[in-house]
Amino acid sequence: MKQNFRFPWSAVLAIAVGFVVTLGYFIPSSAPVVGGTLASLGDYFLQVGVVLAAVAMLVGLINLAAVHWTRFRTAGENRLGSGVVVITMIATFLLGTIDYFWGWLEDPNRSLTQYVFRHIQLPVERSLMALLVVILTYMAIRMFRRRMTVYQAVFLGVFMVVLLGTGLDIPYITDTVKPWLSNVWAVAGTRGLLLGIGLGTLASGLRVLSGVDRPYGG
Amino acid sequence: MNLPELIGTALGFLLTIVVFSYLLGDNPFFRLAIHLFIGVAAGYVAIVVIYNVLLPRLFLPLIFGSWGERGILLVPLILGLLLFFKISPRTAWLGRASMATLVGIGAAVAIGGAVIGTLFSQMEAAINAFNLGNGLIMLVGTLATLAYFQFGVRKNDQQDGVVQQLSTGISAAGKFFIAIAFGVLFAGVYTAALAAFTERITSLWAFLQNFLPF
Repeated sequence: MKQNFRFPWSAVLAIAVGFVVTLGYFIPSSAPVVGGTLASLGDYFLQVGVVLAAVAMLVGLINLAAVHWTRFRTAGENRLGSGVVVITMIATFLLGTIDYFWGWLEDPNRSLTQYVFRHIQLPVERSLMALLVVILTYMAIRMFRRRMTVYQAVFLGVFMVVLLGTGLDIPYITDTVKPWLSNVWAVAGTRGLLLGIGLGTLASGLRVLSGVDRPYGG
Repeated sequence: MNLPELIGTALGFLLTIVVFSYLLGDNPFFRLAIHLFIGVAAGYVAIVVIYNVLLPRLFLPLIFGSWGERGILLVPLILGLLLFFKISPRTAWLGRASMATLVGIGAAVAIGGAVIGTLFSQMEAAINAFNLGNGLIMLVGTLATLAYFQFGVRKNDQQDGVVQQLSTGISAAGKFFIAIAFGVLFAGVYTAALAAFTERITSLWAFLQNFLPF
């Protein structure tokens, strides 16, 4: 039976570009023969990557606006909210455009974008962060009320010690126990986690560069 | 306080109250504030993407640059234009080459960042901090945390008793270190949230003071 074989152009492209950029990272530009060329090519592809990432972000924003516009037109669930998303998105962008062409983008006293950021974005962001206090306290209390394991007890104990050591000046806790917990024991756990994340990222990157994973399709 | 600032501060006051209303339960006003937040954030991202990245790095050099610059920038221009075909499922295949380039570059950057930025730097820090006191605790904690993820996946029935017990012991030690690390991180997040809560309450009170006689 004859099978339809299609050459995996996309995978070849991803692997080739990825290898050039990776080699550009690890082979110094002073290396003989290929060093300078690899570094220049790597830099060029990084510039291409920045532009493509920006365009991808723009495509995502257009998609977001299109989805909310459809929901607004078809009277879908939470119609008003979708309308607000589209209108505020366009309005903010228009204000940014005015700022750019009038040269106000970097001027905090005149910039319309910074005005919107200061009076809408920042209050909502900070209020959401403030809400976290109540939610985190509630979660911690729920944890206390459940049957507790040794690790949960350690977690809550350390949390209390560090919190009290930060907020109050308690002898021995503030100056000895809290820094010791934060700078030795927590660093050990965090370093293990970071190394694990690094190894996981390395493995995922190598899977893409070897063509095993092809999230772009093809 | 001039009029635009007063209107802005009043808007911030109103939005803070609306977001805090979530403490009484989910409500339409809270959802509206969140949609407003998403819309403004999306518009802001569009401004940064267009005026801080695409214009200075692509369009302005294409218009005002030398012929050499224009030739070099044709590749990102074409790949960028092809990326727009991803919006419709029917034409999405046209954007595959752009996505492949982006993913290839992204994977390379991730590898470079992980090796140089995380693995080498963390290993160097671990080596430099080594001594028989706190350095030893840090080394044991780091190895135990790594081992917890390695041996915590599944139990292997074919391992003999001693290896199994050793794995379980190291895994338990790793969990202990992770619990301490998360406890400290949780305290940090809680402190930051508490600072934001205090700042919001202070700003609410400062706004109200404009209208109170005392």
